[in-house]
Amino acid sequence: MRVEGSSSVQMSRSDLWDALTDPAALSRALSATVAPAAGEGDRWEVIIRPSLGSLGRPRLRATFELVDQQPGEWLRIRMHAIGSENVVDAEGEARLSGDGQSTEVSWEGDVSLGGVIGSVGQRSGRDLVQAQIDQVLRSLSRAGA
Amino acid sequence: MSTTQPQTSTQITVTVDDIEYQREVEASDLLVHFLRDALQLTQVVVGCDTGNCGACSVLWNGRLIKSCMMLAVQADGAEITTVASLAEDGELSGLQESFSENHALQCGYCTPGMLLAARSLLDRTPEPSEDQIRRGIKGNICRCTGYVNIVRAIQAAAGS
Amino acid sequence: MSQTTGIDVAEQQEWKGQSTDRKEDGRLLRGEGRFADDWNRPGQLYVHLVRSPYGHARVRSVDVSEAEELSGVVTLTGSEVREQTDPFQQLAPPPGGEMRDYCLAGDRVRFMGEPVVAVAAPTRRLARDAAELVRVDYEPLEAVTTAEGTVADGAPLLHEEVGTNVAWQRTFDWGDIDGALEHADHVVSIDRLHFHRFSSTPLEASAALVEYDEGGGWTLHCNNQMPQFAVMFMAPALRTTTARFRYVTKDIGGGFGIKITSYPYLTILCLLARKARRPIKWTEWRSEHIMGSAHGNERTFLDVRVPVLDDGTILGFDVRALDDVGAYTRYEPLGGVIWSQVTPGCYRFRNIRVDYSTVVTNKTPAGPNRGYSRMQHLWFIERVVDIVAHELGFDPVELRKQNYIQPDEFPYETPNGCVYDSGDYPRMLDLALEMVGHDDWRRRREEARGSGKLIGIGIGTTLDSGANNFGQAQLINPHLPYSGNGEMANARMDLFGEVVLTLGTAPQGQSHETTAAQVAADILGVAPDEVFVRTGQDTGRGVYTGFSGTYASQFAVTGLGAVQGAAEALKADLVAVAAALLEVSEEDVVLADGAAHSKTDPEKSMALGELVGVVHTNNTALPDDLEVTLNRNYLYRPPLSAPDTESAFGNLTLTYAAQLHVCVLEVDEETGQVEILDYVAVDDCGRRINPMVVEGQVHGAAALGIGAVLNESLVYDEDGQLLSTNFLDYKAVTSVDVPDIRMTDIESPSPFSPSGAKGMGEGGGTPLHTVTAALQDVSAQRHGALVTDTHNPAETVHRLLRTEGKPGLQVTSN
Repeated sequence: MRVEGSSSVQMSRSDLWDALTDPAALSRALSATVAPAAGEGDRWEVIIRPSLGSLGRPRLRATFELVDQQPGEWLRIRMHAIGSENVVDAEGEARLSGDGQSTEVSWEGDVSLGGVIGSVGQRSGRDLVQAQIDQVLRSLSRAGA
Repeated sequence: MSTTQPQTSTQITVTVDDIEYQREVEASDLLVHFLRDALQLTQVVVGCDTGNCGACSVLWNGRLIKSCMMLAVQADGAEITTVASLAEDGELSGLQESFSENHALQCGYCTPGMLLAARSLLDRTPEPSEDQIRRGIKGNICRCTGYVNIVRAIQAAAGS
Repeated sequence: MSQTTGIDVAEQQEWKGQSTDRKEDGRLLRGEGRFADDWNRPGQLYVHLVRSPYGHARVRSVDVSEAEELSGVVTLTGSEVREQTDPFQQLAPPPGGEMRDYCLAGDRVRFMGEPVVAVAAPTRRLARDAAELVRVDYEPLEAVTTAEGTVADGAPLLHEEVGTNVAWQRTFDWGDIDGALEHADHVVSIDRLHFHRFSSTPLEASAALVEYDEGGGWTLHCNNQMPQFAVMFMAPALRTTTARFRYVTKDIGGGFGIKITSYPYLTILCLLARKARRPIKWTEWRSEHIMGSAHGNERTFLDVRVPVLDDGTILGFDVRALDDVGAYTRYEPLGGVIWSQVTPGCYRFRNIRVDYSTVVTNKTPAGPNRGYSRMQHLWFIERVVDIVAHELGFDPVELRKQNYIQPDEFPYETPNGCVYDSGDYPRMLDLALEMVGHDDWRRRREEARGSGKLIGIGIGTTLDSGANNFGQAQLINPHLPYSGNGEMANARMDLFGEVVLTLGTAPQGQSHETTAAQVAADILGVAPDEVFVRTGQDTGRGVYTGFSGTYASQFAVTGLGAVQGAAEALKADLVAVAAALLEVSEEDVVLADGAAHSKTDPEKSMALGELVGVVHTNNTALPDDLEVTLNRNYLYRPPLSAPDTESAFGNLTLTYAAQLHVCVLEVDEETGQVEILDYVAVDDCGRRINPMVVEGQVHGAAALGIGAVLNESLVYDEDGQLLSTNFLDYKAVTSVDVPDIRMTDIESPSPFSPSGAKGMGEGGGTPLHTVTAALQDVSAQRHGALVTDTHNPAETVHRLLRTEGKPGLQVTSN
């Protein structure tokens, strides 16, 4: 499943870059996070419980990996999240642009949902993923403001 | 380390089939699990967990709802009616008799919810057409009867 | 037979054949049924299963340490299972028989939803939370999800110990199909027909409460519908004897065959109960039921060739069938012979060759689903007949009538030795056409052309073969020690003279209490209301035989045959006691109106209560030499013999009920949307014990079939992801999806069964045949493309109407 989009964040490009590459900040921004990030550097793990409507909030152990980057310009993140009957794999790239207090972010990537949430995925998976990305960026925006 | 979700419990008062219960419930407890597990009212059954099958239907202040789609805390102060209230003075109601006479149940698992859906329909529409009956019970799945005799039973109950 | 004075036996009302009230209804209408999840025990632990989110993956590691840190949590892993159990037995000979199937996955998962770890905890919530703390490290593998894909070169191998994805193969060859193809005037060839995957998904999912007692073994309150089949798998796997398992079933919220193969789950619960020394409670969630219980068999028919004469006589067929049974064989490859109960369908085909393979894929294991294995084959046959009619220019009505087995040919021996007991298919067709108003609909079909709607009329003929001969298992594997069939019942008198029946069956809505009471009432001279019927299995206390359970359209023959035998034995006891107490001969005693009477002396009679009291509580009044128990068992054994394994020849079922449906539907040319305008069904299940119950079974089977054709499908993507794991996506039919079903009956009594009744209930998948035939009739009004699939949602019909030419079809004529 392909996802792409763009958004404007009320943060300077360097602040946003720092937040996106800081596991603690990123996991704080993710509202589904239920346990703090563990690990450091380019690879870290968080426990998330995304809200999936009638499927409830399944617990997923998500491993994030920063696979490539051009500091201040773009980064490529891979995520693998697994729970007791669900799995999510995602890999995507975010590009930052703009100067001053506001930064434009555009992203694109592939997401696959497996297990029980897979059937939700075919109906509303793209919306769910999009909503998570929007929420993180909004949350970072607020934290930075 | 425990990573279970923090729970907040609340005391609720709920009346089910004219009996009042006071219980502590967790914020995330579903009404259907509260009825089955906490109150041991096994006439409310689970069929799907997603609000599609209607097996867990009850009347909530007289209105038909699916109890898997509601939290127990929302039932605080409510009057819940299950199939156990349909019989009058221990005798089966006309609707129940009609289900039996028309063989509108086989395994009986959907029956409590189906009866309540039918009751609710007839309360709103005392003389429903076949089409109105079919639309009225479309939220309740039955895998045994093909709905043929359920529709006939509701028609017969409406006529009597 | 009436005598000079006293009671006139001929005047007594017969309860068989009447639509008596159901004994089950009283409790079920009040919500007082006792279903599997209603059982609870103090101290019970709830189970939550960790299941594979992948269709195919290597399991690199399993770590339960974090879960076990939670208070009261007990876990069970695949490696413990391999220490404590042996693999489940396999029915197939090698290579499929080499398959190692356990109740939890080991180092591989082979279908999405396969259980990997079981977690038990004092509350449902804690079990779920703990399950989420289990760490399973998977390495995804390439999956294979189609029958044709799994037999192709280079396909990923599911079971290394088997060495092939073909678990079982046999070519059945009866008559002379090569000769028929050579001498036929026409040969109709069809490249591919596909019977899709669906499930009758009972509304109650599987559930069980399992207790363990070191001395006694396990007690399982559950909703398995064939516990004796389960125990034959479970006892050897758990390295113990069958007597250590007590299965108890009461009300079961639908089964349809899907609850036959729950034994891997019951095995998990047995292991947990022994490990935790606590009662173990498990209830499937709906999503678990849909992805983890069982699905119906998906079958692909390839390279079909049909020899036909100029006059429309169809000589038989040649076909290659690939039966996709999912990741593990379990009940399979029995499906590989069960279709051959109905080898020629309702037709006089004499030359038939079927090259049948049972293949494994990364999908949920198949289990018997209402109409099991016969409906796939019968759909194929009806599709063939219908396509031949359309392509060679015959009227579908006349072609069927011409090729049907004729009423004067019964009992009819099929090319593979099955003996169809009785029937009248042409008359059923006439009745159905008259009921639906066939001439009128034909006219309206022509009138509708050009209106944007197309009307199609379809006919489906089917068989519901019942009381099957387990000897057919020997056609799979000659070493299997199974043949025949049977059921057990007990009839006894309680202290105050009440008749009590105990059955060995596990009904799921089939009204066994009601019909058993009718049969016993006639024999014992009481009303059905006065007969108490204990249904549901209790292998600790009740009666059963190795075949006991409720499956495969047989209760009216085996179950009621056992009731009849037990009631007659009990009657013999009662007559002996009455003769002694009334001082008359046994021949002079008649049971009627709840009493024993002398036929010749109206002064001599005794109420059953009084008579029975003498035996139970006042037995010094009995003659010394009178030996009675008033507590009689009977094992009914249908008259069957083992088939010849070499030639695959023999009678595989005792009775052959038939159904014939006609459907009129309308297709919106723009959207492909289908609306059923009229639907009629004619049923012939021999002597009907309770017509109301029979009609209810016909309705139910029809609705599930209509659902399968238009709504319900279990679809996998190429990675083995099941795309419909709940009732949002698996569109179980609702009251607005199925039409009113109008029906009528004929009765062709079976000469072979105890009462002339035939087993029924599965319904032979008739709507699948009927609706696809009606869609073919619609397609014929456009380009005539073939309806090749059982599942036909609007998008498929839309495509059908726009397909030009007839891909996948060749007709050659000599």
